[in-house]
Order: sequence, then C-alpha cells, then structure tokens
Amino acid sequence: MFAGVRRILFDLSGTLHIENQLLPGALEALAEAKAAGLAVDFVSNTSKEGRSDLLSRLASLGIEPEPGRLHTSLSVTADAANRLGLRRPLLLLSESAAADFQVEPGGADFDSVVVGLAPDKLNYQDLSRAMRLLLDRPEAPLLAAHRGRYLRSGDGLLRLGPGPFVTALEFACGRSAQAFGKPTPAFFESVLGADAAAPACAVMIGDDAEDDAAGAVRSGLRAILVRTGKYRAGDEARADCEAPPTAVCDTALDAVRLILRDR
Amino acid sequence: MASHLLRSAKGLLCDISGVLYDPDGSGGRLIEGSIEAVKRLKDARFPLKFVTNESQTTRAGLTAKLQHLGFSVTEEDILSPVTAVRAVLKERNWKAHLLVHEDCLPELQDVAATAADPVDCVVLGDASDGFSYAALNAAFQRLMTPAARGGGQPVGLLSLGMGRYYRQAEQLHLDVGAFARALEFASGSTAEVVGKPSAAFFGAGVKTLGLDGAAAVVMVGDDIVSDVGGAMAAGLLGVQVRTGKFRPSADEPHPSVTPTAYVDDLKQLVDILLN
Repeated sequence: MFAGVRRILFDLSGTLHIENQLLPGALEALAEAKAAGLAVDFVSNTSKEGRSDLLSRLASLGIEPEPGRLHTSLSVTADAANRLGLRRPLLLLSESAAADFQVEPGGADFDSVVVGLAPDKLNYQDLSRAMRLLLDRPEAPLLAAHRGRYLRSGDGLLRLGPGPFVTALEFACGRSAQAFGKPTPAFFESVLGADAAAPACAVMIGDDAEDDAAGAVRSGLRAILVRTGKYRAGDEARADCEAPPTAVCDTALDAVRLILRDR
Repeated sequence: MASHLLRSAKGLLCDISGVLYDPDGSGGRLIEGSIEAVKRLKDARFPLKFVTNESQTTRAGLTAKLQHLGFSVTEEDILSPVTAVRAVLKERNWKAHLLVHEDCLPELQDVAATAADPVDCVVLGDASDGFSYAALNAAFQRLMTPAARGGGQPVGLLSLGMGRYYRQAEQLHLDVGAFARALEFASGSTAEVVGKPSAAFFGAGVKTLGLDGAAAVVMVGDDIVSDVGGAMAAGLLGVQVRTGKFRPSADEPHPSVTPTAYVDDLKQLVDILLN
C-alpha cells in the first residue's frame, strides 16, 4: 500500500495537536518517521495564526519543522497575492495572521479581499464592508486562505471555519473566491514543488476527510485519515467517493507505523 | 403587451422596503408618490398585501412605522416571514433556536427553545449586528446535533428569506440569505426558506389576497432576484421598480431575470393597474 514512500505531510491541528495539547503519540510519530529516513513536512490550513506565532506554539509542544518544511494556507495565499500584484488587500484576518501579508499604505483604497479564520472580523459589519468593496470593484479578487467548514477546538466543541463566510460573500456578490489552502491543487503543488514525480512518493496524514485525505489523493498523493480532531464516524463515506483515503487509522502514530510496515 | 397583462391584474403583492420607503436606521425615508399610490389602491378596493422580508421588526412595529410615514395600512395588510414562520412552527409543534433580530423575539416567544432545551430547528432572520461569529457558531453547533423530535432527524434550518443584501442608510448590507448559505455550507443542511423568494411564500401571498390564480397577481419589488425573479418563478407577474436597491448597471437588463415590466416607482405602476 505504501511502496516507494519517501515523504510524509503531517496535518497539524487535529492530527498532531489540538490548541496547546499534543495528541497522544504525536512526537513518537515524528521521531519514528525521521528515524526511518522519511522527509517530514508540516501542512496547516490554520489561518488564525501567522507563521511567527505558529512556530512559537509548535516549539512549545516540542515540534520543530526543518526550515522550509512548514507550509500554511496563509503563506500560500500571501505568495499568490504577491504574484497577482495585489498591494492593498482588505484583510479579514486576525492580527497575527495579517502579519504574514504585505500591505502598502493607501487608506481605504483596497484592491482585494482576503478571508481567513478571524472571529473578530467575521461579523455583520466587517463582512458587509468587504461585500461593498467587492460589489463596487468587480475586478478586485476575493481570496480565501481555505474553505474549511469547521474544526474541533480544545473544549471538544465544533467551531466554524472561514469557508462558510467565504460562501456568504460569494453568494452575496455573485462571484467566486480563489482558495489556496488544502484541498486545492495549488496548495499541494506549493508544498511538493514542480516535480511531477513528487506526489507519488508522498503520503498525507490528517483528520479532515475532505481537505486532508481527498484533497491529497486528488493531487496524486496517498493519504491516511486519522480518527482524531474533527473526525466524526463515517466521514470517509461522506467525502469525495472518487478520492477515498488509502487507509484510515486511529492516530498519527498508527498511521506512521502502517506506512513503515507497508513500504 | 406588458401593459395589457398589468391592466388585467386582479391583485398586488407590494414589497415595502425600497418601494414604499427606504430604511435609513431611524424612521425611514418616503419614496415620492407612494402614499398616494397606496391610497388609490385602497380607495379602489384593489386586493393588496404588503410583503416584507424584513425580519428586523414585528408586524405591529412595521405597521406603526408605515402609519407614521403617512401610509393608510393596518396589521392585517402585512405579510411577513416572522408571522409566517411562527405559524409553521406551531403547525409542526417544533421548538426553535432563534438567530433573529432582537425586536422579533416577543412575537416568537412561544416557539423559542431555551439554551438548555434540545431544538427541532434553527430560525435565521435578519439579525443585523446579532450576526456575530459567536452567535453564528452557536446556531451551527445546534445544526450539528440531533433534533428534539428524535428518530435521527437532523435539526432543520428555516431562513426568513434568501436575500443577498439590502440597502440601509445609503449603504448595502449583507442580508439573511448570505448567512443562510454560510450555515448550509458549514453543516451540509439545506435551508427551508420562509419568505421571499420561496414559491411557498408567494403562494401563501396569493391565497391571502383571496385569489386563486397567480397569473393575475402582480408582485412589485426592488430586489430583481428575490422579489421579481422569485415571484415570476411562482407564476406571478413581476414588476421591477427603479427605486430602493435597484442598480441600473446591473439590473436593467439583468442576466437571468426578465421582469414583466420595469417602472420608475410604485406610482407609475398603480397608474397602469387602475387605468
């Protein structure tokens, strides 16, 4: 099942940790993967924390990505905004996430809208303001860090992701957003690089049947869905049936051991 | 040809916001000629209901507001989604988690669940500043739990309309439809619309006029998709006014809705209907 695997992409929130708690076996999973000579990448759709805050949080948990091995939906979106020549995005982002973006001063003359997980900004007033901008300037792109529907927070409850709010703006303005995080092909390409052979050597491990597993499989990787974090029984049946996960395991540690056994 | 259809119409469903007056955060700003137009219809005993998707206020409150502006209307003339949804919930014996404008809470008191009760549905209205991340999250969490009525039924989502945006105090604001779509996307459920542009709502409107045939009823409104398109899809005639949230560059012509007619305002429509 896992012949030829040289690289593992680990989802972070819900797979290795939930907020400030490591999930059981997380550090062992990373250690065993590294000891077996596999390359380890960390991927995250987190759009609430910028890179700097995220690295601090991970360090306090004992997770230290190698340079260039931490890929977030924010970093991929910020790169895309740069490539598109967008200088003054209206950021519906937390302060921490906004730090990942370069914004030229220019008052209220915005050229785009960027939506991430920002509980303070995802409300009637701020969303209406973004809508007015998009209606007044049809050429201004609507960018989304990702379309995540929800995640499970530390208290065990489900919390809305940015996806529903992106949908609200798309509906109100009659246009489509471009998303750059999982499960878009743009994200996996950004992580793996341009080498066409790269996806076949990589496995994605994550708790989101659609964004982690199905997204990876559609981009040519293999994927293991884990039953932690936001996972709810039967998720694999409800996700894209054309792109089922290669396997389903209870934890990230079980997933790594399955890969090592089956290589 | 359009004039012919309009002249033989037997009833009128008349949108309020953007046709009678423009909301502006306080009493509202009259649209010229509308008071006289309504009076002419009433004097001629022309079957008439005022249809609103406004769920920011009660029917009594709305009536008072219109009377204060000078309109000769009574509560019975008004067809609102809040009134409609209360009737639906009572008929189904459902309890609801409410995310609606605070002014509507009194009218929905006897169908509202407390925070501790399990619920049968979430009711979403135009909550305005009530649409905080926390409030939307609470509604979402309800949608992800089983319904009070048991049998593995999912908690329903009733939306008091599906409008995209509305105009208030010179600016456009997100309407309930945008937030309904957000919760649909998040939870995988499908909203049942109790309000424009649902066919059921327009159908109820035709019945309240005491008429049988939708084709003899005109709906006049400022939202080309929700008012005019919705009504025409339900078999009514649809007239678009050039007041309210009408946007000339986007709405005339419109890529998907071809109204029975465009008129400058309600006054112009009533001139056609009564002459």
